[in-house]
Amino acid sequence: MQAHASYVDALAGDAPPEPQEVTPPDPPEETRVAPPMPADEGTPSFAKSLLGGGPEGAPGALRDDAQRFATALALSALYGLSIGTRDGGLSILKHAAAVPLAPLAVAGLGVPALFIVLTLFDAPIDPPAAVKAAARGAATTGLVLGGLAPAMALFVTTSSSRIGAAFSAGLGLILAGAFGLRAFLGAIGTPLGRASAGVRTMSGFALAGFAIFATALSARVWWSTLPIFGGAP
Amino acid sequence: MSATVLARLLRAPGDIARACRDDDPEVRAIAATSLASIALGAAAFGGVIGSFRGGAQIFYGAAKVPLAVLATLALSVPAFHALAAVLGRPWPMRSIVALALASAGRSSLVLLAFAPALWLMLDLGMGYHTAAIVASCAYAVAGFAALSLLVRGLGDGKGRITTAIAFIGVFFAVGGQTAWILRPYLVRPRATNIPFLREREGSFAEAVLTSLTSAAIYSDRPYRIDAPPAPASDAWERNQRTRSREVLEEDNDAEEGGQ
Repeated sequence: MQAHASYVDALAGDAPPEPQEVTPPDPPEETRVAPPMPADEGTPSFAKSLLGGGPEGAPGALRDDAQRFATALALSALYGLSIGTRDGGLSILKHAAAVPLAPLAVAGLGVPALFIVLTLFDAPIDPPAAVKAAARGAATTGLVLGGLAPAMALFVTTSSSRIGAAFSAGLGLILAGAFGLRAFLGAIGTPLGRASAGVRTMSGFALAGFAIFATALSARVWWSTLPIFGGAP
Repeated sequence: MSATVLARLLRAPGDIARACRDDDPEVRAIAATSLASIALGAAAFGGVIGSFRGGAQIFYGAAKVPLAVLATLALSVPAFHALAAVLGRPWPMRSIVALALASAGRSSLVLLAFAPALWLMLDLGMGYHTAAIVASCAYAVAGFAALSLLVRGLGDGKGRITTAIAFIGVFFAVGGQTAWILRPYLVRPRATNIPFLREREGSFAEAVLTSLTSAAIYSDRPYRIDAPPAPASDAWERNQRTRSREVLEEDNDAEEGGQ
């Protein structure tokens, strides 16, 4: 900067006298370049607090998981609100009530059943870990649904055909459900990595069965309760 | 609007992306400059497209293109935030907003650069379909300029490409639908009625599907509108040609209102 100023002043013809004090040299280039930062680190955010989890068994972990689950359901309801805007009125509330039912059903029916099956195979998993994985899966689904809600309001209100609107709404639900399932399986599969080969194999079958069950259950719940798909008029 | 930030948006997208991602103090200046770039660049490009018809359509185009860009950003950013988080980048919304704005600002500057050339081509008598193709190409180049900043902003780490693809998918779908409901942009000079918005019909996805189906159906037809017809061998073939011509004429009538 100093060199630049001197050059401009010299061009203008009234260059000031050179400073007597020698300014300290610039730090080496490598110290000024920000160190490479991993993608998932940095400033705390709502998404990070929703998706991240403390260590298992920490005091208040169950409360945190419950809060995370409640936030996920609220975000899912937001998606319901947005797809309900197509018909308006009471339909908005019906959709808002119906969308969170699927993650609730999967967490309430599927996760306990999966835990029982995994325990039968002597998989190294305990109830807090299963609750934590369920909360993480639901949080992921909720976050995606909440993020897609504004865009989905655009699609359902501006599509002239009802089929097009239903297709858009279904696509968002499928996407969010897939991300949630992926997050759940990733969270619950981590402790299974410490198990023996036989247990891992059997657990793999159990998790595959759970994935099919969760997909079918979610589809059944959404199909029968969401008015945009013709359910629960 | 800072000239320094403008120059960096064009020359050093990596620096801008890093500043957005790291929530740098200069994010405010980047966001303000990007917004100004969108307003200026997209309006200029929209106005030039509108000049194909002239009159009120110039102002409509200049208003609607920036509106489409900003509405797309407003609707896409929450989805970007959520998708980035579940794919391993749980950044603050502020960072995602800055990154999206900077990308759109960069693409709008590219559109601004294309605007004079496009205007000249329109002034020299470029046809309707050619104008639509040239404008689409300009949009594609601007999209690549935005994408290069966006991908740099995603940083290193797992899921970078998946996140970029997810962003592109969301942006394309939301941007397409927003642009679709704000039609028309390019209106034929002979059109007498210039609506600010066309009636609601279908959706962007349905229109793409219809166009693809139509292209598949007509791609194997021998009929060309500008080629002299070969002598028909029988009555059935003559009948088929007549029907094809009618369909093409209907298509042209439908395009009367513009794209």
